Amino acid sequence: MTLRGVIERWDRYWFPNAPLLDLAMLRIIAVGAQLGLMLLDPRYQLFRLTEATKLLDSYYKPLPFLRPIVFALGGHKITAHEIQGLYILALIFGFCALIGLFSRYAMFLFAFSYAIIQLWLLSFGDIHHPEAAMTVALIFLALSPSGAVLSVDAMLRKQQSLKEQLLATDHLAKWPILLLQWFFGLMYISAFWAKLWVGNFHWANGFTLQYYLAEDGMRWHSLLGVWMSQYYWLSLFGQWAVLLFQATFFLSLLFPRLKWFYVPIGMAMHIGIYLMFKAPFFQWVALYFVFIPWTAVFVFLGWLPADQARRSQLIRASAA
Amino acid sequence: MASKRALTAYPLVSIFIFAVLAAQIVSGFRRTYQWWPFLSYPMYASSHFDQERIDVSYSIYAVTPDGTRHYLDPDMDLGIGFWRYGRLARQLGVNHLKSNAHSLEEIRSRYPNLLRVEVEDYPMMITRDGPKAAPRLVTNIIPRDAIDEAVK
Repeated sequence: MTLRGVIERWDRYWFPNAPLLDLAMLRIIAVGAQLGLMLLDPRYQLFRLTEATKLLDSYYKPLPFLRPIVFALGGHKITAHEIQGLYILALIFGFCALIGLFSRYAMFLFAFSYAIIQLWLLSFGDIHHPEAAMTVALIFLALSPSGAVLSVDAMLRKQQSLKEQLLATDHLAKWPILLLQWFFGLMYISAFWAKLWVGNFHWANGFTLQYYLAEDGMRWHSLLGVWMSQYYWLSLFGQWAVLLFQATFFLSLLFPRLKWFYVPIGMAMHIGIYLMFKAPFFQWVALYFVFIPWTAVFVFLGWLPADQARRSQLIRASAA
Repeated sequence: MASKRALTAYPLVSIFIFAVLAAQIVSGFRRTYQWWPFLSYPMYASSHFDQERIDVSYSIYAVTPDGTRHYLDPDMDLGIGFWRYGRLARQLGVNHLKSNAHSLEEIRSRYPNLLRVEVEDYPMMITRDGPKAAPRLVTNIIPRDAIDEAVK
């Protein structure tokens, strides 16, 4: 295959003519979920930002992606009050991004301010995983036409009717969705590899899952986890199932029909992890909706008015 | 047919896509958290075996001359929260004292006359039939002179 052929295939994969509605749904779900966490989950609320500053200075080591900001500020050590100010601005930006008001700017500022807040917090040495996927998702949305439909901006433009907006497509509407899906695939590959490598190829032995179920079950008071930890064969089956799922999830990205199999299992797995381990990966659960072809679902339900040819075109583009 | 705007954006977006995928692939196979949000995902990845002790929680105690063992609370006494406290206890358990000098100094300032610091883990173990009680285990005893040496 020639270089030109490779580029054409790349462009066809990442930049097909796809429904903007799918991207707008991802914007609403991701931003809505993050705003909900910031307002309702004590782990992300304003007062938590001051806790980090009570730690000794020796804990504070700016992460590489924060260092350019610190450098631009002349080496200034960002204070809790400044971060709290940024947090309040982030809420405002986030609300604007949610309703799609000045959406390009609002989405960018929300993603940027949220990333800075997280980088600052994590620079005190306590690294968490759920926020990483949300941060990249917000950045993808900020760099795409995620506010083109289902937004106040679209209403104010009045260039298109609501029907036209809902059926609108764009060549830049698919890549953020595909990239986030690939991000999930790569996270699973990393998790699979870690279980083999860190686990010294003894991970799937039944006892490992019993151990974690008992540990987190007792630590975080999960009755389901403690109950499950009593069943060796169930744990052994669960471990092999997790390994198989994480190792092969990427196949569903190459063969989209497999998403019908993998996505419900993945969603059930993450909800199960919360119920058994009390590991709150709420961001992942919210972002899992990226796998739902919203336009196809709405067309299938008859909520989007379109002729037969357009309907099948939209379903194909949305579900690809 | 793609618009002129879309065609102009393709190369830039393609570079971004490629960079994101490459960053996550590289980070995914390395155990470093430095490049957050590009991370590896080794949660629950260590293997465990029959009869192994369960680290439900760690406790750190300061022992004073009258023999009293003062429990050091992650938030109230050290102000470092649950996860940092666990890491601190594990590191003190294997005598990584220098790298935790600031926490030892905090403990020493709270209990100036302490004789030693003891690290203890929760007494449970895993078996084929589920978790069972196990005897209390003091994972390390750090004498006062070792604390002073680390803090110096």
